[in-house]
Amino acid sequence: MKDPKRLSKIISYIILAPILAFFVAPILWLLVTPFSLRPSLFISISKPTLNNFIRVFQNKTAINAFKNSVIISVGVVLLVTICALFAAYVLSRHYFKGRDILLYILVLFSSIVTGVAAMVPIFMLNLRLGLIDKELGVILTIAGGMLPTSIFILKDFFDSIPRSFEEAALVDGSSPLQIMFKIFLPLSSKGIIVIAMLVFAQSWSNFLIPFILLRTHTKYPVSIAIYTFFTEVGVPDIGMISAYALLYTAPVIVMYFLVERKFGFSFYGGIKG
Amino acid sequence: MPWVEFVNVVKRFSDVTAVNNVSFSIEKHDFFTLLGPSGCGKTTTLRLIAGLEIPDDGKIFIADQDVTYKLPKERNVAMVFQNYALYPHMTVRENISYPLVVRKIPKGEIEKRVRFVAESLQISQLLDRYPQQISGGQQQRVALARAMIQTPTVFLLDEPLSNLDAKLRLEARSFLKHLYTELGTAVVYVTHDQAEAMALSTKIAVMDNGCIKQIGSPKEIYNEPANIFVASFIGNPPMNIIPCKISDRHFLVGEQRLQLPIPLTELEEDAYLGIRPENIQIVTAQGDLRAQIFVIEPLGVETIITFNVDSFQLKCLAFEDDIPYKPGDMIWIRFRRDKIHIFDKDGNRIQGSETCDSH
Repeated sequence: MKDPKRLSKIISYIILAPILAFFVAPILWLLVTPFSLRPSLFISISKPTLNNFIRVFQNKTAINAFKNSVIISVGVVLLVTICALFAAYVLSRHYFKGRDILLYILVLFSSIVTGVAAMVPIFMLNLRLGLIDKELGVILTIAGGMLPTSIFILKDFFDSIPRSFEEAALVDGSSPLQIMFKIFLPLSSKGIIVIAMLVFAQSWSNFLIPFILLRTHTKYPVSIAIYTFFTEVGVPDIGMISAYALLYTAPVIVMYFLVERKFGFSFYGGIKG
Repeated sequence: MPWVEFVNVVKRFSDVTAVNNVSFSIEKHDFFTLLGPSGCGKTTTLRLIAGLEIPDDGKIFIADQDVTYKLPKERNVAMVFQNYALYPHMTVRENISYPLVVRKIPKGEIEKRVRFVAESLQISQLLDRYPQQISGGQQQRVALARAMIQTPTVFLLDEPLSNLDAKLRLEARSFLKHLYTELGTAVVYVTHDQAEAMALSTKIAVMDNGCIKQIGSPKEIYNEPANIFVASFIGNPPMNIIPCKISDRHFLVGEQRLQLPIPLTELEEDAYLGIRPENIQIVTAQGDLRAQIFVIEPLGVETIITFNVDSFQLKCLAFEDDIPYKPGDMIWIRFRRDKIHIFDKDGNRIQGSETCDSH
């Protein structure tokens, strides 16, 4: 006797297994290879060692690149979060003529002219502004690219916070600054943290923009520095690359879990009567 | 001088006039209710008092001061919002003390006043909880506490009972009325529920379409409604309004002739007759109109009887235990002569119409 439900389950598992393997394999490789004595492009388990990590920490370029990545990412996060906060607040709480058109254009343009297509104009712009080979140029360029989406997401989030909280605070005698810091920011902290996380992850992993705008290799962030790990004969040093890659992904993953643990991803909705 | 005064206030939102040339005055001891259907401008009026909206025209005075263009915090008013607007990231204690904290009042003083207010509203045991952790009725008391602690000139309450379930609503209503006697200052209350307005207020303003239709004590509003809108908005069930023709100093209701000599001579041909359900009696002898019973709804103390008179449907309230009729029965009904209201064809009440004497 054949159970048709069971059969369909088996078939779906057969289809799902290779897909799963396809996605899991690189992650598995990333977790295993850095600790391997003889690292290769295959997932091979050998005697565990920390040798690869020690070599990374002894490599000045590698450590320096981490510092550069932090400077760029933190700079972008601060710039984008603060600007998006102000812009989204105004767009959410005040109506002015052309507001909706402005939002539309913001989103439309930011999604049309992106990636490689924008590289030549971005390079020219930075050249004219004298920002080539400067961290500031990289920060401004990445921030500029991320602002529209951030403003849009944050504006949507702010729209979901009832105005009556701010109005109540107003009648209760608060000044505008008190409303901002005592009422609005605590209420919207989750949305702001989500944006900050998103922006951090994006700028941390950005390769193209620093690659185009930076010339001096001591200014390279991790995403570029990782390409310099070759042996004398031009063969990639897989041990170092994998260890470095693991260190590189760690902050984003750790941050994600921290935020998840601390805030969950539930928001203050309206208020129940 | 009145405690709160509106002088020809107008407020427009793009092409909608939410408050249209409204004037009224409230005394210090008044419990003033703005009553009307949704969208009539009553909440906008309240927000104008609070300073959350600025009028396009007219003047607003609170305690002899022109506050028309003043910020909310300069008006010393306290407001309870319809959804209570308790700050979800603060405990009940922090919520209640917030108005004092932002006014930089010393900590010891705040602590003392929080304790006093919490005790008088019986919420002392909730002070360390968060708003999401307490019930709707408790949330309402916290919102009231946050308003009371400011010792404001005026209390503004925006439909504070509408978020409570039916049983709790009655309880909270009695509590509010009791609280009002302790507050010692004017309360402005917004509601669409005529029973709340009748039960709580010393003065009611009935609003419709941004205009005030009538201002008066609950008794005046009930007994002498200025027009059909007010008459049919107040009372449960509302007043029966019957279109009729007047000829030969008698009313014609449909095909029937109502033997009702009227003392008013300047009446036009078309008019409306208004009678509250409790003022219609079913009589065994010949009455005013012949009617057929449509449905009988016993509610415990009273019974609502609906009947058809020609093409009109009337409701009557009977207080007897046993109603000896069933749907379909033909009966005679009689109107209490001193409770008849007559409205002209524009819907305005004709003064003195309640004095129609019998024969």
